[in-house]
Amino acid sequence: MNEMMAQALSFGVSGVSGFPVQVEVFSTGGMPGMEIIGLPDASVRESKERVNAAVLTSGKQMPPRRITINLAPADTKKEGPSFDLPIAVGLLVANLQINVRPELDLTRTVIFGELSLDGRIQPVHGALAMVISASEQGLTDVILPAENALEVACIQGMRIFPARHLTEVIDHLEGTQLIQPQGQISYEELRRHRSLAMDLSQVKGQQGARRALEVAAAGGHNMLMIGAPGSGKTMLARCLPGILPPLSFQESLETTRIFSIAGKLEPGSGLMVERPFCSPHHSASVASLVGGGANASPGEVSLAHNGVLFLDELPEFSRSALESLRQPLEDGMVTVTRVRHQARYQSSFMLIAGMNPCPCGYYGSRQRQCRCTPQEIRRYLDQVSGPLLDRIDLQVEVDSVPVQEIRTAAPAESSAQVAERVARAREIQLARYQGKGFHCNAQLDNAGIKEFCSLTPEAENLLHMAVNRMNLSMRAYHRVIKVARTIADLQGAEEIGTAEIAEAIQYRELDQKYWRS
Amino acid sequence: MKATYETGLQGEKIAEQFLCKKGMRCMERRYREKSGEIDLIMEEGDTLVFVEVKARFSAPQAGQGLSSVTPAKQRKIARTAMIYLMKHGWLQRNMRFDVIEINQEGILHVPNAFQPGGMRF
Repeated sequence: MNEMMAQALSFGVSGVSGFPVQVEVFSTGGMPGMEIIGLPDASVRESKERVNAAVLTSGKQMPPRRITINLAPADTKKEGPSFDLPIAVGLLVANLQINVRPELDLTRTVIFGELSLDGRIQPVHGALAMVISASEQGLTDVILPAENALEVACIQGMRIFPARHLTEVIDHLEGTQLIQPQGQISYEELRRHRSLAMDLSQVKGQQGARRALEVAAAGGHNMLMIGAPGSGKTMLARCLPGILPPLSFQESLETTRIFSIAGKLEPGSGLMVERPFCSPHHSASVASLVGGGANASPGEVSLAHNGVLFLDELPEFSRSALESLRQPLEDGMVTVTRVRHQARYQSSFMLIAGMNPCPCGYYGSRQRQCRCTPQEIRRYLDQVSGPLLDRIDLQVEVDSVPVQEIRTAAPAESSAQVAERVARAREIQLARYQGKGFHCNAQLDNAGIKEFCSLTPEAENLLHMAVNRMNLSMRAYHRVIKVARTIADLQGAEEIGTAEIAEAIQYRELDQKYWRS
Repeated sequence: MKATYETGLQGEKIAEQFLCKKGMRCMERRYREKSGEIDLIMEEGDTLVFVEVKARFSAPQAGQGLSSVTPAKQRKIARTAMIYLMKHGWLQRNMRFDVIEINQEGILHVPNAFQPGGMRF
């Protein structure tokens, strides 16, 4: 027989999910050469050079044959070097260089990995997404780069074969030496090695801001901190991931998947156990924030999914960048549309913003005189639009702590203690919203507010008075109730009383002080 | 001019002997079409071998002749080979393209030196 055919199974990534790709290799006589078809991009087309070198350095031959490699389905774009390994396997089989053991079904074994010229197998992006999709399709066997193994080790019911070199894969397929499957690692085990980047005990003073941070964490509320330079806004924000409840397995899968696709996962690491903390620089473009680029890759709002998006120097961000945050803030989801790609990424994050009260930074500060004219301040504050401000539940002023106070302050509460209270408040919310489609107070819609936020008559009175006096918008009114609900949950109270409403209103006052004056 | 021609002829003779000793059979010498010329067409088992011979007795070191088979030259050879194949109805046969270099140090044979399959003719 002159014509030979072989097939290997691989996966590609589109958006956050994987899709199966059949790698068909057809080898025949005729003018020798190799052609890859099925809408490969440049990195896939270059794969033939890598595969060629890797096969030769692994001690196998590449007979001069006319070879056609088809990546089916032929109408979807294929990108990235992860098809190197399945192409190499298909070539070896089609050119009779290896005999696959009969009990191994190549059409049901998922293979992906990048090859280097000497045959070593390099890690690829999106391994988690591909393996999850494979498992959803009922496939169990996966041969993948060893450095991607930990990333997928938590997925149940899979047989993961981590490979370091093409020769290992050849031996595994032929049955001369099987690859040791990666043992399953439970998520709880991974979580045990959690370490905090920043602890609240390092934050001295700042009682008001600490309290606001706790409330924000307990209800999943967005927060704005206004204060002079060096007053500790960034430090406070960095403490937030540590007081939020730990990532659940499901959340970790979602977040790790996005990181994996963006290629932001450190090679050799497993599922993420820490909530992400993203702090894009204020020069960030719309595309880098919400996602974009030629292949609609995820942006910072998606990388911060289930975590914290910290925007320092909020007014310095471009207007369009800030406005682009509205959809993800509202829906917890962002749709990125490009000419050739469309992708939906989850983007449910807590927005923490930091800003100075004026361009020079010292308006209202105890430490230094402000040098700004009222017009300058006006222009600066107006960079932050009303609609965006409306979506921020808590606003706090953070003032610098005098040096004496830092020296003499009693040791502050640690993140662990605060986290415990936050966790309790979150549990109350979870129990209350079971089966309602939301899981924390910040996500409540108007109907939900009516149902779950009952106020005592005095509290109701107080709220109405405040609304009239402060000229609060309807949305702001609802936000005050939501924050009050969270404060009540922290207290373990069923009904919202005057104290809770009063505190919640206080987190709305900066609006008045800075923007409406 | 005469000398270059002689060198080429001599080189091709040496190459043919060398390949025959390796068990190949000569089908054509200096196969010529409008599109160009193929120095040797051999047969090894069921595989056709198109051979480009580079004889350089004055060249200081090996490998130089090899790099002088440029992509343009490769296309020329492939086009000529195509005509040869069509005339014999052999388009589906196994085949390969070798380069053999001869200088005063010896003979360098590179089997499967290039694959014109993906080229645009």
